Amino acid sequence: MEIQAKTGIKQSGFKGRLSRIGKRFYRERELWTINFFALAWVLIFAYGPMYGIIYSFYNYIPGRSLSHSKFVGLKYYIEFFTLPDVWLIIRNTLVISSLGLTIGFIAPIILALLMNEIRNIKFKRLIQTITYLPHFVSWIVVASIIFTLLGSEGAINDALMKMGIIHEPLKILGEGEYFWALLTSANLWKGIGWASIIYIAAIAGVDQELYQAGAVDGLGRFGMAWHITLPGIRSTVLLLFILGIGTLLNAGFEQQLLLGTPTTRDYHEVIDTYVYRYGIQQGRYSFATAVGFMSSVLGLVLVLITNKFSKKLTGMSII
Amino acid sequence: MKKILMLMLALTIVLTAAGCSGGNNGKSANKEEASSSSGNSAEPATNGVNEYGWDVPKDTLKFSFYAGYDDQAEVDKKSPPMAQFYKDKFNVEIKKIVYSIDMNEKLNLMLATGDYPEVITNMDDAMAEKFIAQGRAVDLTDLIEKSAPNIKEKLGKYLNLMKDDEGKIYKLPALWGENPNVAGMDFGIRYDWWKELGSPVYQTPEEYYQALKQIMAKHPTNAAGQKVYALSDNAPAGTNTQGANLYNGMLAAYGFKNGYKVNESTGEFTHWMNTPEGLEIAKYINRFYREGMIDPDFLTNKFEDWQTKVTNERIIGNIGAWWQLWVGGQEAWAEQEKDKYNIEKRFMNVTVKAPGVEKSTELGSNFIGNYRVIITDKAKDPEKIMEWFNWEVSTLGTMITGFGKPDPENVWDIKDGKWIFKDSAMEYANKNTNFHDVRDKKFGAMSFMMIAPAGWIKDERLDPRVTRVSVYDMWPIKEDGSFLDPGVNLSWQNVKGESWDSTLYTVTYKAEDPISNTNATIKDTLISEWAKMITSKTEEDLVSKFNSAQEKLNKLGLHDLEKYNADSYKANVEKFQQ
Repeated sequence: MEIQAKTGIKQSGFKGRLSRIGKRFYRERELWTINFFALAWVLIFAYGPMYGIIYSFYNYIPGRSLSHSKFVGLKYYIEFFTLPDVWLIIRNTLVISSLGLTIGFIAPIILALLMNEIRNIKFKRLIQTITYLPHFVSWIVVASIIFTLLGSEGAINDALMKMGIIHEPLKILGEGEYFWALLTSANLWKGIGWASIIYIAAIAGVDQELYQAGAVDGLGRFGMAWHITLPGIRSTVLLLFILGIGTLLNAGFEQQLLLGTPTTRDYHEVIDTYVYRYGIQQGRYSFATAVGFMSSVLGLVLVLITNKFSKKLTGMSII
Repeated sequence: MKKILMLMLALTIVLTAAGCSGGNNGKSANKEEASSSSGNSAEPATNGVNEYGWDVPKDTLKFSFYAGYDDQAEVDKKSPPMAQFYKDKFNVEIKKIVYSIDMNEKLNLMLATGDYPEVITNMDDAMAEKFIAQGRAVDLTDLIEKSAPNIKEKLGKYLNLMKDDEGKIYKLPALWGENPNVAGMDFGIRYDWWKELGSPVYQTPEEYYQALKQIMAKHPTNAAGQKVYALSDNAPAGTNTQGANLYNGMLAAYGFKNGYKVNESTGEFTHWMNTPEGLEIAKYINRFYREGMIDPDFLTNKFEDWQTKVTNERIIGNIGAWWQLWVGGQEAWAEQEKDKYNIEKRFMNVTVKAPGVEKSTELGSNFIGNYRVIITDKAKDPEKIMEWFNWEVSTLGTMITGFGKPDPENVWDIKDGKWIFKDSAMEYANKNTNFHDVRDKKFGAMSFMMIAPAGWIKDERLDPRVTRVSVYDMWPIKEDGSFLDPGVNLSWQNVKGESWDSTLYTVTYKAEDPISNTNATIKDTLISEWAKMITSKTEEDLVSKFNSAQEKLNKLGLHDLEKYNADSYKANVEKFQQ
């Protein structure tokens, strides 16, 4: 410092970098203090458990210490791809996730746009509450509602029969072909209201003067939604889409276990259910860790690729 | 500086030596205490044998055990009367631990974290093997010799099946014993409706189908106008095994043993999916489906859904375990209709045998059962726990474990050395209230069952008015030997099966053996392929699906599984005959 002060020459090298970091920390001390607990949480709960990845490279048996377990390298990573039903499981995972990322992604945006058009505040709040509620209902309850409604003697089949649309009850729960639609609908019903919150918040942040200008230019309500609201929330939509891509290999878990039946196995078995039943339940933690880690890495890679595309095409990115 | 260091070193040595010698003194003092305590042990270490045959220790025996899936709040609500009885009369404090998650999942976590109790019971054989392989189970061989004459005597040669390759015993059976039940995997039918037809005798699957068809024609709907079906099926909550009861029941009618066709002379095991009978069985069930005779929800029903349909009189028959119809049918109707209940409104269980089959296998009796109990390395006093096990296995111990404290208010009491059931407990019409509710809810019976046999209890002190007493139930009889409950006589009059000993067909899947994974995969795939087969729209389609399922299962390792089962049987026979 003294030298710098005397000579006016900026310190360089490691010491200099440390000093600059120290100064920056000091300058931003309030921000670091505020974020301390959040950072500690991330370190302890998000990064801390990552040491467990090492188990995927060992033939770990519960009850035996890792040091006594045999190193097997990529055995469990390879094993996943040699499973008899691996492509069926991957297909189901990708299809269910993709349906979630298309229908399940667009629907909350549409709902938020529609809610934005409601002028009566009390009615708007009522609708919001009604659409959020399913988010808080557990999958066990949702599954029993679905079984009651869609069973061969459920309300839906009953109504369709009474209307003369069908003459024999549809086996909605027992036919594999219906499973993806059933699951997507259930996910949508449960999550649409909750997912729309962030879009409603983003819409609230759109400059009101733009709507006034739009009205002057003769835009109708649809035109305002298309030309003002949607572009206004574009960055939020992109951000959530990029993050959503990261969960492409996580197609849900409880819903498949609860709604699946022997006849729908070819359609409901996904990576997570397989890992749960053949990994966690059987104590094959190394296998479960390997598949889980693989899914996470692929998810991260997909996020990075999508982010790069987004940056190139729209100039917007999350990193 | 050097001097100071030397001084410190010298002081350290002196103090350490003093400390050590002090420690030694302490140890010898302890030894004296111990010896004086063992000198005191000339005084008995127990308070003597109580009226229930337990040598009551002076120091309270305390331990906990994990018993599988249940609600801890419910367990804590139910167990206090039994816990108090054990504390007061036995000086034993046992804590029962249960979790509302899959037992194997929890046990794997327990193994990984090293956090498990002194005793684990009701675990499957493969899980017991995992604990043994990791050195977490106590070697019981000497303890049994020393402290468990009852276990030795009652398990007899079956104890050999618990031995490992070196002849050591680390696990014992739970829920074991001889259980020659009257009914098993039967072909049930609505008794009153069957009687309307003129009580046609049915002994083959085809005759059963015809009987169901006739009843269905006569009773197309129930009183509420809902459609009635010949058959249905279900799976317990948390599982997706719908459809499996149907093939298991059929396999019994075809004489399969645990799903395998066994060639006694060659020792060869063939899985039913690799036999022509397998295709016949699939065709048989498929016919019900194609003709609209099976409940359309039979592959999605949970047990409760199925039970509701049975109680609502929408199901005529059942292929599978007898007790399901009992619970959903007569038991529920008797409860609902009280005094108006007509005893003939019930289900009858019938033994059915496919043509050409010498003997059906509906009544399998596995002496060692499928569940195990171990004492873990956490046990402070394994010997005392083994003594407790030995008491629990004694006939009186089993009675107390299963029926609770002998008491005038309970369902049983000890009078003049005889174990007498209360008259009200034997009223078959009010069995749920006067028997099950009293012993379970009021006396906390079965709360601490770890190793007591689930098979029939035989003892000359037992009330002569009852037979077939097990920890689960008791069946009062009349002087002529028939059941006191005329309903039971009606239900079981056509059960002709003989129990077969399935013990030696028990298969142990070793912890690290890949065959256990093959077995799990095949089990799941079979359930799903079976569902596809039996819901085929045409018979040709069914044959094609059967063949493709057969090919798929064999590719997954079904032949390896057949060999593994055959080898296990051979090994069991050798062990048993040791």
